[in-house]
Amino acid sequence: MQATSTNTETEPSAGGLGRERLAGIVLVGLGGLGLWAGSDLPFMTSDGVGSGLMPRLLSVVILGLGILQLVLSRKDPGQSTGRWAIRETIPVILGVVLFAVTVRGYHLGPVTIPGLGLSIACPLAVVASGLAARDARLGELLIFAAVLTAFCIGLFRYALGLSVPVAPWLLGY
Amino acid sequence: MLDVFINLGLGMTVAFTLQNIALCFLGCLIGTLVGVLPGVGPVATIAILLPVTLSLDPTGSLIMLAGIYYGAQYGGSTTAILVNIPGEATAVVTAIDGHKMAQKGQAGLALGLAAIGSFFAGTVATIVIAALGVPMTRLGLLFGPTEYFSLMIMGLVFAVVLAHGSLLKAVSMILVGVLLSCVGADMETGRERMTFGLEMLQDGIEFVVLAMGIFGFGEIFKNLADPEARDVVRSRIGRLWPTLKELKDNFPAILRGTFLGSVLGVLPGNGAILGPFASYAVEKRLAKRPEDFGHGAPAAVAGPESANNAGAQTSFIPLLTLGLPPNAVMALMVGAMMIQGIVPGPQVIERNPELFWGLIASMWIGNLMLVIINLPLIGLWVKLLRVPYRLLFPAIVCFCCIGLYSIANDAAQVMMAALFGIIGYALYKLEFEPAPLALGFVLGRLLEEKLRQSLIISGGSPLTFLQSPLSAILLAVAVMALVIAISPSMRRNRDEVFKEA
Amino acid sequence: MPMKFTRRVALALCGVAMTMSVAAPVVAQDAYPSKPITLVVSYAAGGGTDAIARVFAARLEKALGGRVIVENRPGAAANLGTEVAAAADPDGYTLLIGNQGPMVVNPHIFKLKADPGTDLDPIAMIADASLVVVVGPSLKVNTLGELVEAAKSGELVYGSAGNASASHLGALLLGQTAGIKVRHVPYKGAGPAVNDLVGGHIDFMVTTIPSAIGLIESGTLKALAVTGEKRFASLPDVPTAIEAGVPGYTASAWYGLVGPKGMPAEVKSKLEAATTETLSDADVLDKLKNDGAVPSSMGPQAFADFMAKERTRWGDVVKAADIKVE
Repeated sequence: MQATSTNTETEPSAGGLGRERLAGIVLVGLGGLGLWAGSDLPFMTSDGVGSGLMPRLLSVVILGLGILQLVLSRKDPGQSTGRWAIRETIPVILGVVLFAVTVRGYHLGPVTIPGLGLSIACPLAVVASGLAARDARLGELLIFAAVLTAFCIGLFRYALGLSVPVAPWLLGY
Repeated sequence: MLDVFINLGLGMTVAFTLQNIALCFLGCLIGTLVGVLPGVGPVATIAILLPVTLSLDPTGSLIMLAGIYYGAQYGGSTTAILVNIPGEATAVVTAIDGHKMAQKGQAGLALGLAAIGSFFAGTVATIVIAALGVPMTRLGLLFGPTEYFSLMIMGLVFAVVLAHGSLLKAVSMILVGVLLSCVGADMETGRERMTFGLEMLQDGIEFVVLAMGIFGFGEIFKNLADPEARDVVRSRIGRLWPTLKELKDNFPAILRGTFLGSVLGVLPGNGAILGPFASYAVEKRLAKRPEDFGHGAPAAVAGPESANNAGAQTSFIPLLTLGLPPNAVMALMVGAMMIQGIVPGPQVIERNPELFWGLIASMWIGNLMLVIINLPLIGLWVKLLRVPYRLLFPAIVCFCCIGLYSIANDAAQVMMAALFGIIGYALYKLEFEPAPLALGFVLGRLLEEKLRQSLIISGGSPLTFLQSPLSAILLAVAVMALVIAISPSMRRNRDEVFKEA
Repeated sequence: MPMKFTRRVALALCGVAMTMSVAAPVVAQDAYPSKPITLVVSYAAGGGTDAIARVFAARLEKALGGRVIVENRPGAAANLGTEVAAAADPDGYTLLIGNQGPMVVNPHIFKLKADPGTDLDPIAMIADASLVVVVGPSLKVNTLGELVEAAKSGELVYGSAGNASASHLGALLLGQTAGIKVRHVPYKGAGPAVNDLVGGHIDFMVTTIPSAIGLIESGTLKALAVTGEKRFASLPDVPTAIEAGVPGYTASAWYGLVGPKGMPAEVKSKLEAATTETLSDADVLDKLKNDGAVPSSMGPQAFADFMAKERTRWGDVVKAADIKVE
């Protein structure tokens, strides 16, 4: 499956617009977002450049370039952006997020996750993200995760001396 | 000139003790390791190791710490070439063509050229430091905020050359990069800018987080979406080392890269980051087939890697001759010297000649060590690429997560990188290139800082950029380069539009 | 294949690990400390505060007979470290290196989630680092008085290590005390600012001693005054600002050990004693001195009083200069 193929099985975003027009829209959006996010900042102050000058100037130019891109691509036949790897992306993101919330613990409203350290966070990240591969084998992945975790703990915590928690529930750090 | 060699001879006798060679080797080894690991940089490593080195004598500890620094520079390129994760701004350029070469089965060639180019650059830079250290310091001091601002403008113009697709998209990406660099507390007033009230954005976006997201995670998504193409690539493993002819072909690029890197390395405020970019731009301009750039041109690895290493080394010049640290690692070296009771400054060369020349000599030995450590490792790295991807990428994810976490002991950085990964993948889908964005991000920060400093110093007059002759020249070069870059590609762009219409 | 890779690298690492890891001392189960202590530093690894913390922590381990792990928690303009320490269990296993910025200056500038004055418990002051007023080649003055005179033109610019940093505040206070108006150029850290001072792009700085001492000794920069109450041992010829004719002017960057509010009394006294022991170690003294700092002997009460005084003093400076973050 080529990235540039016109396969449409999971192709939500191109929406018939075509890659180039979509790129223009993204630029216009980014410029607009920048303008909005920096709208509270002073452009100039009495004694020089204000903190808003650069963000606003840049946003306006990006917005302008986006419009130019749209104009230039008006006759664009509308190439597809290809298949978006959503099924593969989600497990990887999940793995990263699992690592983030478990390594030192996480509080958000009613949810509280205790700090579990590398000993838990590492295998979670490896297994969850590993499932993204179409040829993933769970057994192999579990063994690999265990080996990799032991290696990482030895490397980062003990050899490099980083203060990343290992297993607070077992070792106290 | 003779003095230089007498002095270097003194240095060699200091550096060539068993203890110092061992420390140099250990430093280079640790440096290579932390350089290869994404996210764990030399700054954190040196800071953590500093108390341990206090038990060593000053010369030995500095030799080891210096080894970590250039070992990390070199190790970072390895990761950039193999898995497209530039751990430092300087490796962004290496990643562009280096990773393309690895995908074509030329990982060995790319790594070999990088190693040999770096060694050559390191050797030349060592002599430059010994012979021209003092006059080059003066060059660095000419660059105040005004001149630096103009230099950054020139750098951003050169960034356009990094693009190999649509010019408009490349310029947009540079500007988006500059915009991203504005996020966080304002340096003059401390006021939050574009943080959306998020605590994790308050101190701005870390370069490593951005790079690991858009390059590292983005690359993983890209590969997962396209397993067949990836596995075809992986089955082709080429030669491990470059041939004599390949070396000869790339030697001019190495030479030019070394020159550019050496000069830009002395600039304050991490001017060394411009070296690889300038080298890439020059090589692309001089190449017989500039269209190969961006698709795995060996000169696009050899030149920038040489520039990177030369710059890493000559950035010691302001530290050694004036005690002025041009970047965070050098600031740590100052700390290491102070704690050992050595006051860095112009007097070191008089008061501690054995330390001064020993450190310089050890740089050359360190570069030799790097070649000795890394040439055999190339075989290992190339084999690593043959690990089934279904196991390789979870390992990369795991290393990235730990590295990201260790930047600030903060899980929010890990999540932010995941978000950048999604953005990076979307940019790839829309055929936006990440390298100009990364460059814009790095230069943008300095750009605004220097703009505002200049205007405070000049009392608000923008004429200051033309009144300084050096700044005016740099701006003129930038304008010229921009005109040259835009005129032909504008035409090409129009042609493309017509062709497809 | 991955197993093979792991084994080879592990072998290589063994050598690294042996030279690098610090053996954990054996600890008694019942007495404090029975598990590793986390020493929070509000800045990234590699800065001045981090360096002091690591030298201090390495020796404190011996004094306490337990592991002390330095944990960098940078973020939110160094206020994150304060929050982390304030929210931790007050059992003595989470401590913080409290320094001037987050402890007494930031409460006047930011809306804080934790107030260092009420949510933290001072244990002991560690060290006090005086600053130095230096001029570069762009300015031909020889004394602090001449600098003040030259500044009356209203054209002088000074560099600082950043907005609301010790060097910014030190210069602000100098301006306010001497009644002069000078323009502030913020940099990111003392290094680049000193660089521009040497290059003659800015006129003067009030900076930490380690960042300038080499250039002072070589005559590249001229030191006009140190900002402490006493002269600094390594710069015996440089007068204090008070001696140089700016009455009442002192400014310093200081570091102390603080913990969450409500630690048990015996833990606190044990920590105080261990700090005193650490600061009497000749090696630590030497390193602090080389870093431009003098060890302090303030206990909990004296340190608390000192911080309260500093908070009012810098609060006035900040208000007069109208620094605040919306």
